[in-house]
Amino acid sequence: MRKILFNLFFFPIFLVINFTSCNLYTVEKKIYPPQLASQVAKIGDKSPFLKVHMKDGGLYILKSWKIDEENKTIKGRGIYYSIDRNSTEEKDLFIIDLESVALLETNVLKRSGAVTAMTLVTGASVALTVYCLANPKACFGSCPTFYVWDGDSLRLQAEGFTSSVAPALEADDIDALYHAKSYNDELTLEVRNEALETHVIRYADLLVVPKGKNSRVYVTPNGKFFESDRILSLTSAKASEGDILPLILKPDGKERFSLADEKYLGEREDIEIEFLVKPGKNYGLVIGRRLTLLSTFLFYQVLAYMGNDAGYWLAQIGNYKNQGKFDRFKKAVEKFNGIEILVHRDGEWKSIGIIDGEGPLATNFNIVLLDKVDSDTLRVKLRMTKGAIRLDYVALAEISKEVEPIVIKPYSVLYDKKESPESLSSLLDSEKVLVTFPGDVYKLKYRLPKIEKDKDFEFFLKARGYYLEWIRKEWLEEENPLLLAEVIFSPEQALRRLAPKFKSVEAEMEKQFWGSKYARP
Amino acid sequence: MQDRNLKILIFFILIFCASCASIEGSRELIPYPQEVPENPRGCWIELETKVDKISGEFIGLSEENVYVEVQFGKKLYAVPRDEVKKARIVVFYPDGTGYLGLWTLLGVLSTLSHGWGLILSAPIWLLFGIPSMIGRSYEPVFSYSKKELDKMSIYARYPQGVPMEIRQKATRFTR
Repeated sequence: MRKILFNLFFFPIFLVINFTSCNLYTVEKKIYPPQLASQVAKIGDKSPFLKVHMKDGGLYILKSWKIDEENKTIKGRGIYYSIDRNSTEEKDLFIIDLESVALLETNVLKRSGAVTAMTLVTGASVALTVYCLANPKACFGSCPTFYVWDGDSLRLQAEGFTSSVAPALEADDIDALYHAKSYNDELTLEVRNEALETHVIRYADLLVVPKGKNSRVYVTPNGKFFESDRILSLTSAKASEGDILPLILKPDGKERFSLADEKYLGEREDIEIEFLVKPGKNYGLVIGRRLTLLSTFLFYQVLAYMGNDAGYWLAQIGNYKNQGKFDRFKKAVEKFNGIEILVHRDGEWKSIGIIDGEGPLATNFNIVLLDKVDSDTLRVKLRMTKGAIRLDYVALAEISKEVEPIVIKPYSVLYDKKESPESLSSLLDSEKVLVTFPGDVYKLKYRLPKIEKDKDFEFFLKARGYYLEWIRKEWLEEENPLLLAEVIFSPEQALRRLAPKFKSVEAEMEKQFWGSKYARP
Repeated sequence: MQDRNLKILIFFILIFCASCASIEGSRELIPYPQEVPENPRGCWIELETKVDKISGEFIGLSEENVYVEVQFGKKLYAVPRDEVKKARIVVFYPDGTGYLGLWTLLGVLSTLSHGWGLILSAPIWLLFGIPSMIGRSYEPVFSYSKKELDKMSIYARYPQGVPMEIRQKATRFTR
């Protein structure tokens, strides 16, 4: 809608103003004694008029003129003004003796500096707009975003129910609020709708787990919580480009990612990592990661193929007759967005599961249990789609125990800095939902339970809901049921066909989306 | 964009508009830039003296006085240089500040089409747009201290000096 508004309303006005403002001038006024008349001659047409100030106070304003240095005269067509400027005389040819001239005045019109500055900004801004219009899949796009104080500032720490793109896909989602800090026995979540989407939130509960001061609690992809008081760092990490250890050693936002394959977007790659461990201990692999914009591109491309019938197709997801097809498609998506974990045991690589990809905005931290390790070196392979994952952190957690979180409901909801009892009621009553629209910001407040002095909390968000992507006008032009069928029934072929299209926007897409680093964790 | 944010944006633009140069002369008395080259009169001048202020067409300078014609020929005043505290010349009417304001506002609104990029592009619009508006309003304005009065002679109706015939019509400015 915003882009349509821009196209229909702002852009034409913009051009009119731009055109009008291009005619903003400033004046450079200069005075010359008659002895320097030759310099005035060089200025020529730059000054549309020449003012000839006479010694007696009279004034000639000449529209076209010629300085005759040999005869020491100025010849020209224009108007003569008397000393008091009240009477005038217009002639096609005045011949003015330079001896009687006091001063010559030129006025050169120049483009206003203000317009130059604005033209530069407009050029850059229009270029960005044109880029966004040409590559709408590079702009906008997120699920409900949750911002939490990290002890210093509000930080994007979770995306709610990333995969729930239709009512039928409404699902629970648990995200670690890895950097969250409480204040005054309270925690505040700021949930924002920052995309052209309608967000439907059934609930947004805070899960808190009491833990030791030096421990961390991690959640598995299937929602089990484990405490660890000993975290082991990587000793080696190698990818196709070489050593990547410094990039994934700490959860610091420095990420390892690769570019997608040029011919096949489903091309896989491996990262091989190693840890020094104690045999006989239980370990879990901790991974902090988020998606690149490859999955966003593909998702929007699928919606574009659905075009005007997107509503129909998304409704089909909930049709039990299609459940089998949908499950197969879902598995393919999970494999595409996920990281397969392989452990080296008994001389061969054994797959122990896939950790799902989440959204492209917030880094999500999970743990995958590895069972007991029987040697002092643990070798693990992370297998993923090339160009699909941004890896921030990989570590090994020695499992202390399984723990249970305490579920806390919000006690207050603020909208536009005012208490919103209706919104609170929506989040507390499972029969109701909180519906948010682009630009909405809600603050959810939670009271924390009392805790022993030597303990601390680990925070998680458990949210349920779904979101509806607004179909952009530009997407409708790509409506194509045949290509949609190709994506569903022959995804490998589609990933080959779409490779050149994605590669043509990949570099700029990332640069533009993340240029502000606004959403980087 | 929420209504509240739009109001804040407009509020900021209005606040910065208040920083624009204010000119006492009306549009009828001050030419547009394109009209300056064929305008036979002097530039608009605003003089602040020890006792009062006076503004009008800048007629010229003599060793003793600054000549100002108030409201186009109604009255010519000779303001003693010793009385002048400072002077301000307006060469042309700074047209387009309203356009630049609207340009900035629409520029900011257009960043809605930039997605996440608006976090950067909207402030950039304000960073360039607001100073451009203020800068435009000051483009034709030149200020002079008492010691610098001679520098402004090029903006006078008589840059060569005020003819005696004209000087004789002047009244000493003593309000």
